[in-house]
Amino acid sequence: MGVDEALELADRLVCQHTGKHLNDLEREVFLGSWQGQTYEKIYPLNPQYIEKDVGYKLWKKLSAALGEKVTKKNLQGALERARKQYPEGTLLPVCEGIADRIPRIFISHQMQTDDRTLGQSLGDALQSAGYPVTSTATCRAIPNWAIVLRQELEQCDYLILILSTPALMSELVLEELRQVRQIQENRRDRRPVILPIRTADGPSLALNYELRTFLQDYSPWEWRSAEDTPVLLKKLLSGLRSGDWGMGNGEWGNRDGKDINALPITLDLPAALPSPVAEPELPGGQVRLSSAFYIERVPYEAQCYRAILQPGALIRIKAPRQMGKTSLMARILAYAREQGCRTVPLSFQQADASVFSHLNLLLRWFCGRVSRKLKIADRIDEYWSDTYGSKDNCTAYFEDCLLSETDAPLILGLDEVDRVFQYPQIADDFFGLLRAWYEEAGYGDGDSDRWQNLRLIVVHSTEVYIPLNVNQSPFNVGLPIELPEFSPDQVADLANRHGLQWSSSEIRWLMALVGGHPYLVRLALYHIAQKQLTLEELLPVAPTEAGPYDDHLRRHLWNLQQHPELAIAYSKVVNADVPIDLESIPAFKLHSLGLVKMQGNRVVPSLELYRQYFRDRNLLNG
Amino acid sequence: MFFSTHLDPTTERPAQIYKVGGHLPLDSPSYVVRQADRDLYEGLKARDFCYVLNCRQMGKTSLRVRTMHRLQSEGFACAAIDLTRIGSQDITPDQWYAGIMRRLVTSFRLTDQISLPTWLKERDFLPPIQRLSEFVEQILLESISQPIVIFIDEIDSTLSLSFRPDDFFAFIRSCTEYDRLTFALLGVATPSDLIRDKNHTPFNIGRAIELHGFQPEEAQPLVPGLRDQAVDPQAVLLAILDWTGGQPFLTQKLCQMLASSDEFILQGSEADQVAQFVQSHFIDNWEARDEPPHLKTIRDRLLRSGSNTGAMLKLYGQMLEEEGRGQGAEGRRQEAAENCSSLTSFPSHSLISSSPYTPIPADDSPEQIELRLSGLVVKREGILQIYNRIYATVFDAQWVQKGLASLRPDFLQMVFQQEQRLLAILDTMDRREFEDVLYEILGSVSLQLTELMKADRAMISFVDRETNELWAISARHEATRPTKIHILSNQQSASQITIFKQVIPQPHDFSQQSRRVVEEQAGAGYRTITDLTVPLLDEGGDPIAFVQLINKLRPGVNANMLLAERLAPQGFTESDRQQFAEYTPAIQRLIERCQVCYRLTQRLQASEALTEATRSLSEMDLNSEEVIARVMESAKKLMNADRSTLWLIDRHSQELWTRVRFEDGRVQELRLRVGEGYAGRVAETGEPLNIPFDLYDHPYSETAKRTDQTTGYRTCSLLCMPVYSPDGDLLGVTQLVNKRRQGTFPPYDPNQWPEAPECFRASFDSNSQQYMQIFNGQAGIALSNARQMLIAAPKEIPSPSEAIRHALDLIQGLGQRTELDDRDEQSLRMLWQQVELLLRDTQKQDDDDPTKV
Repeated sequence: MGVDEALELADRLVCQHTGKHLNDLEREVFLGSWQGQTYEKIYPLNPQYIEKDVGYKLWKKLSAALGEKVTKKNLQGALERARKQYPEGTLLPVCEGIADRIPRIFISHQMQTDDRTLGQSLGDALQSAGYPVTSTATCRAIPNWAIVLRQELEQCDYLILILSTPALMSELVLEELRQVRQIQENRRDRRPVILPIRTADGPSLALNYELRTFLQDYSPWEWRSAEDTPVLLKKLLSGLRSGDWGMGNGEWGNRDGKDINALPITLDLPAALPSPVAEPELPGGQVRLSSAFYIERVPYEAQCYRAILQPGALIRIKAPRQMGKTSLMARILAYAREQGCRTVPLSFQQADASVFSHLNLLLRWFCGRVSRKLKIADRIDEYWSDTYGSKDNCTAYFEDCLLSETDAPLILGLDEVDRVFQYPQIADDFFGLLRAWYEEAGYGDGDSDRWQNLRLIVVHSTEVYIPLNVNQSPFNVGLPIELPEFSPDQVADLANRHGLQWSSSEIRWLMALVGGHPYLVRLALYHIAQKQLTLEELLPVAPTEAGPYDDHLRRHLWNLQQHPELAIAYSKVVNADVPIDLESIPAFKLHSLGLVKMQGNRVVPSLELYRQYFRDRNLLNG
Repeated sequence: MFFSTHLDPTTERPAQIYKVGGHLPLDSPSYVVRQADRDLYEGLKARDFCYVLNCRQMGKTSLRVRTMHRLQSEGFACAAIDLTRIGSQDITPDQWYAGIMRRLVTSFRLTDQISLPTWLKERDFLPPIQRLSEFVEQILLESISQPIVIFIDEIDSTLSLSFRPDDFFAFIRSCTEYDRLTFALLGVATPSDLIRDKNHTPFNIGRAIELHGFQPEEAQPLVPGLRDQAVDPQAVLLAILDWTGGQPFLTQKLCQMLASSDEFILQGSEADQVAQFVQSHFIDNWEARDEPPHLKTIRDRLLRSGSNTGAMLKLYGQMLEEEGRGQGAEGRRQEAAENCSSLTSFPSHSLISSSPYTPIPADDSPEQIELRLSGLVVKREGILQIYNRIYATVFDAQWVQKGLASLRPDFLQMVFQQEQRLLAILDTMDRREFEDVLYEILGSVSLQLTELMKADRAMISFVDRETNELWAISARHEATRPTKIHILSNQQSASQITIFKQVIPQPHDFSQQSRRVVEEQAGAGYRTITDLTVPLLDEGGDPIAFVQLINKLRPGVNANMLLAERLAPQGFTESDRQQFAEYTPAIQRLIERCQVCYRLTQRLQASEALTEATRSLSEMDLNSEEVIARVMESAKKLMNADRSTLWLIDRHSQELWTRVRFEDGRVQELRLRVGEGYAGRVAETGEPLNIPFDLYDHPYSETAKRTDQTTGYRTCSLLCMPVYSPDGDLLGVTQLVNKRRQGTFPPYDPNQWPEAPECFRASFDSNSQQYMQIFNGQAGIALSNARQMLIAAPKEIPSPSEAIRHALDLIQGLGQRTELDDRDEQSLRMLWQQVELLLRDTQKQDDDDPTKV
């Protein structure tokens, strides 16, 4: 690859990523570096400036655009790889100016009065300033809101996200952010930009795990009362005009540190809404308030605690979403940490889609995340040589950097590995590597010792529907755990902890509706314990928009509408009075969402709640 | 008692001596020592190259771990290379070999002796295999003085590399020259899959280690774990082996499940209780219970293997049937089992008694090998048998039927989708070239065919009888990427047209001819080695298309290999033919519909052209020769005629007249009496006249011959049609002369008269006649308008969308007929009117809205 071609490619990639071309100085630094010149040679007048400022920013830009760490030293290799990844013709020739278009704005807010009012006043003001604005409220007014909502998210340039206390616990907000991330990855201009406005305060002001994943690169604006509105508007308008967004004036959670991962975890005080997502890590050393509502999944905890201390252990946890997989994983990790192990929770949901385009990128990301979590200096570039294949490099990195530093076992909690199933071209290789490591631990020869210190917890919600080579798949070894829903006794226990002394018939009523679904049971108990409504009142409103499950059900509905093949399959399921046959992949996917129960090879709706809610709805267009 | 049964979960329970899935740790109490253990150990000790190629979950890795340990304890230096840890889809040969060397360096603890990256860098100029060879010779053998054994596990992962490591196997073969170095290969593959070069394969000089199921006398280590579950654990073990055939995974699993259950097995009821247990714990609802996956793997290997699935299922179904016939013997044996005392025979042989069924002899056909590698069947003493009763019960005849049935819908579903798309595309035809449509519709079908039939290329050649053209779409088999599809448009070379006419008796001729096309298109060096060609015939037995599969591929190939390496030596087999025969009706239907649509589009396009041409008639002064010439010119082009004339009737003189422009620009008026010549006859009778080639054979051709003689022109075919006003008055006659033949021919040479030239050896067909009728209808309106200087009363114009919908309904209506050659004049005329309205409308909109493209 010639230098001109390289520069051209780099420029295009950066332009695609940021919307801006490289400037003259950056081009000079690029050319010089490509030819192996020192900063001194490149710009003798002020090499310091070039190195610390221009160069530094350039490598950062290139790293972001190429999806791997780019330095002055690996520049050539990085671009060679990028060229393989983006062959001629896959990149668009010039980047479109987005500045000259009037940006569209979407305001996402909860339906409570406070949030609506704030959304309304921001919307009105922005609209009168000439910006096209839509909001959650306008979408909800339309019968097929879900489709409109998706369209609005796809078209908008800015997403103003009002994060009130209920919003922090909303599943729909999570779904919105998940889709926005997907849209950003698909759009060349990486829009929409998220502008979070935090109105929440009190004990629930920390973000839950998934929100942290989505929002860690943003800093929020604070809004405390209507007095803050004009200031906020002024900032918004100036940002919209200039396209230059400084940092928000607020912080996530605590005020003294920027590391979100180090923040104290949401305390599940009874006064706070239960979180729809679990924390993968339990706060160490604190009184475990969050355990107050944790129901032991007898006998699985004990089994897993025993298993994880075995050399080279592998535990597979499988259950539909919100069934308590991550909580169980967090507990196993916490237990192992107490026993002196090093633990790393790692969710594949955190990786950008681009990471999955290539095995090499995935393995680098994997090593990088584990190192960072262990606070081990990142030596990936050093280990990633072209001499060996990427699996070899990854293995060497684990052997030399992650497993040999200390004797303490390393436990990886791999959450949401389902994501990898979507990329069959790398799934086989990636899982094959995990399996090979697992096998290595058991050989009892020289290298085994190190690998015995690697222990894996693999968490997934879907059946492994892609054909993986049996001998090369981690899914048919180790301890399998399939988490069931709560039993009546467990529900009774949970009710008790909410201060509710329920009879067995009350338990039965609730379970007739939501089964032993851990999150939905907790949500009901919370509302009842808060005296917001009684069990008798809950049952009729539960499958409606007036009930406490509105947010949960809407998320399912919205999600289904994004996947028409699932929506069609599910509408068959809820409208049938008997178990029905489905093709295996839709059946597995619906099962992983928690929407169906498998009865042999047939399926039924998993909960009466779902049957009632979805039966009356046209799943395809709201 | 050996194992305590305390409920304290921290102590080892009996069930935990068993290991289900993954290899057994060295200290596992339930390891069953088999013949293979002895064979491998002794073979390696004798420095023989050994290989264990077998189906999955048979205990290969456990065997390797044990053997390696045993050899190490006797002073051998051993290394194990798990190839899945090195290879990936994107790895280069350099990296792969470097990975192997790195593994050797760490295993033999050579890190002090050598810095591998530097060492490799110094040998950058060498091909990778040379580096490995040098490494073994200069580093490995130099640094280690003991005898060396290198185990290479998961050898089948070489099949998914993007290159063929043939020289790696050749290297292993060549290593026999070092008497201190021995290799053992383990994996799920056949030697011929791994390396094709017979001269360099190590597998014909090595020792094949057969890995059989557990035999009763070997399986004793499994007994202790069952002691708490039964009065007579030995008998239980035999009953277990009876169900599992000694298959290691299933045997361990069944033992483990029994040991951890509450089951207590009484003396004498071992067979019954185990049978019940197997039924309730393995077979009922097996898909949900198969954890860790074993049966599902076999299922997937059968159902997802691609082209061989049909053949494998059929063969397996046949085996089920045969062995079912042997069940009389089975019944007798079961009675014996109930007596228990007489359980002396080999349980794993229980399925194969000498009863009156015809066993299937084992051969090395691809489907047999595939089936054996799946683990479902096994070769015992030259006979192919279902491995065990669990398999035979889970994968029963009903399952086979379902599998076979689901094979067809897959493809049929896809064809059906293509049909739907075809209709959808027609909805939005918007003047797309029909080639594009064909490309989209048939392209994906042929792509799918390459996948399903494991052919390197598939070509669908499509006969267009109207135009005497042959279209071909060919797709190339590639593992991951969508395939580039070529359209060999207008391949109307003389040879090909004759091919399709003569092909019925000899489909072979066609395939030979089309090979050339494929080879040309594929580029230099491409050869058709094997092919399978099927003509698709219409009801009359005429070919409408040919589907040709070229070069059958071996399983597990990838696109980077040389063609020669990818080919299946046996070519297309009878089972391929059968499988293909199941697909052909669907393809045929699709192609017929494509043809219908193709013709429809042609007509649509013709109508549009006519509208354009005739519109000018209504707008301009009729007397302008310019207009008449232009209109007739477009009619001529449309009909592919050599000459065209519009004769107008002169009622006063009962004559037809026209003006002919000669090449020198001179315009001459010609006159013809009504009843004289062909045009005159048409004016007289009012009936169209279509005289096919050769007109000189026609009874009324004397006038034409005479005229030709003076002008030196050769009239070969002719289409003469009346032009009526909307009120039914005859206004004139259009005359098209000499349909031009498709293709490139020498121009007409008057010196050859009266011999008919090649280029005119064609006739106007029914379509041409139809178009001309429409054309003349339009011309009639225009002529009468012009004559009366009246402007037609504005019609009620439907909205564009309505018009489109109406037009599409018509198209659909036509499309749904099987035989479209029925000339449905009414429909066509309406269709054309709709199109005209549509055009007028869009034009109006275009005028109104300048931004609209």
